[in-house]
Amino acid sequence: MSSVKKVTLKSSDGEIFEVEETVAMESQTIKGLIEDDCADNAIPLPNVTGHILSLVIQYCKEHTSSSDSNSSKSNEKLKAWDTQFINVDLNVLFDLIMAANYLNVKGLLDLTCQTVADMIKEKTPEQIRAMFNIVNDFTPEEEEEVRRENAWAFEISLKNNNVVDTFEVEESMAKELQTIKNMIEDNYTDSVIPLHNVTSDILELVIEDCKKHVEAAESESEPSYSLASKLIDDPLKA
Amino acid sequence: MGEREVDWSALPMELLPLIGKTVQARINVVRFRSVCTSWRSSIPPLRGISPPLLLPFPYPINSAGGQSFLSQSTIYRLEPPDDNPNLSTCSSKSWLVKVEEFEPGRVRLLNPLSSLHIRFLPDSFPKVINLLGFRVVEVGKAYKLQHSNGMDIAGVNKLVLFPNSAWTSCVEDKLIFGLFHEGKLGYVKYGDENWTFVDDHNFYCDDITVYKGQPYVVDRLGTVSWIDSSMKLIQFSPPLCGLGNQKHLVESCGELYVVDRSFDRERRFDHGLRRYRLCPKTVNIEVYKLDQEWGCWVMVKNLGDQVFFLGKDSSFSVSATEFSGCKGNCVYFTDENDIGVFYFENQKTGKIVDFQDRCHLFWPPPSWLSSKSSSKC
Repeated sequence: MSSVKKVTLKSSDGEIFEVEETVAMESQTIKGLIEDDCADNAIPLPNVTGHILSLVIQYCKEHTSSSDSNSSKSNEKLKAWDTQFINVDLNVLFDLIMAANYLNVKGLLDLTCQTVADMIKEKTPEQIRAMFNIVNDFTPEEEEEVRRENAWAFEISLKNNNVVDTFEVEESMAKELQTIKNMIEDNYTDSVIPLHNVTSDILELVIEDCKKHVEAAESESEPSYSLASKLIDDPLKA
Repeated sequence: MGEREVDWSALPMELLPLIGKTVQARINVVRFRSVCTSWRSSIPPLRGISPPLLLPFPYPINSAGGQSFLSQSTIYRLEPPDDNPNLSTCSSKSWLVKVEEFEPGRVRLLNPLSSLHIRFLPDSFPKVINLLGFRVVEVGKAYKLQHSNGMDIAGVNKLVLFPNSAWTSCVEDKLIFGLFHEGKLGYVKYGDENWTFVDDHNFYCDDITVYKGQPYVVDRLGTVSWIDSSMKLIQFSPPLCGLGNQKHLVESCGELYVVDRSFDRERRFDHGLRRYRLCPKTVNIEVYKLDQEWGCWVMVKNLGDQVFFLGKDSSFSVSATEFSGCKGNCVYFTDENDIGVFYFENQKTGKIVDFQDRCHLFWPPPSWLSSKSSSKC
């Protein structure tokens, strides 16, 4: 008589498995049945085929022995075993998830779900659907929502030279710009100085910058030159 | 075994959240929700940092009214799917891009190194990109502390969130570490009145990162320490004693590297100030890896196909093979908003404009971007 208690599991296709009680108890479902004293005969598992059940048992065996106090299996080795174990085709993976859920084997459920999540990584939804045989069942409204969630609308300034904005500035500030200074000193008599090469956005920034320098020069404090750097429109240029 | 095509929509609904919750990066959560109605309803949408993370100011002088916000930007690698007919004629298969999603679906394009907003784009650049047609991989995340008007708060060098996955967008779980002026290390949790500073007078933190789920810092001498749950610094490595002025932490292929940067001061004419001033200019870069067995630093002379990025608010690495046409074994850095690059093979360093003939993975945007028509808004 062996001192190790065993339980008998019967798969949906009639395969019989004898496993140690401790191993079987990795499944919370089976654990419950054993504790409720319903496990004297073979426990029927109508939702799990023999092939899948053998895999689940393999998993449980590996993970029970590693929770022993004198187990030599390191976490890394166990992880490596898991990776090897879960390297199965999609059909088997699906069955494993269902089995892990039905039998309530938390570790296996987490492992299988994580594997699915990893498979989804870097794939477009179209590719995910193809991989998992899922039908796109979005309504046109939902489709629009999905499209919006997956879009990037860039906040950029369009180089629109057609927009004409006039800015009124104090002469002292305008003189910060050598070009304008020269124009003023040359008695440019038009009321508005046209700047054909500068869009309103840039002009706004430049004026702000001049303002800061004029203010700084007046107060003799350390001017902030962070604005000047914002004029960079080509990331490669200084 | 017969050829059985499993219909994964037969998966019980209660399992979908289990799968969804293990998805780490935000882009993958969005993808997950874009597959079909049952997948979509199984996990809630993620919208940046929600609610907006309001934090106390790190220094009393900042708090002249208003509050500070944590803003997040993400670095992605964008790749067209293989069936794009224009691909064979393109020089670069992938594009490295940094964006800040300030509103759902609206992004600002940022320079991956200087984090400046790229306001002007070539005319051929699409105004809207439909990500459904691309492979999008998250490379890294970066954080900034800003005033409510969007201006950056001065004196903040780097911020990291801990833990770092997409699902801890629930703000209550987050711990924010910050490196401030003069290398001070501080941390704050949502709801705290003030930042707590790790007070160690001899400690000047150069860089901080989250590596293998733990926050690590490197000090001026190149000693790497990790921060334990009681906010104590546990020494992890001996001092590097490199000859450089500034140390950076970069994770590459699962390993932690220390990059030692040497500066020279260069007199440059500042057009804004109308005078000469001394600007730092990177003249040399050395990369070290810790030999964990012997507990000593080993200089790395060749990065292989890896490209290191020493950005203003984030450091990361990518593999050049994923960006065909680009060579690895180089380090990109930023000197006061100038972008420079250091090539290991010939020890050449300089501004990126001086190397226009070389392929730079983040600029200019590849031609396949504009050839893929943007969706109508």
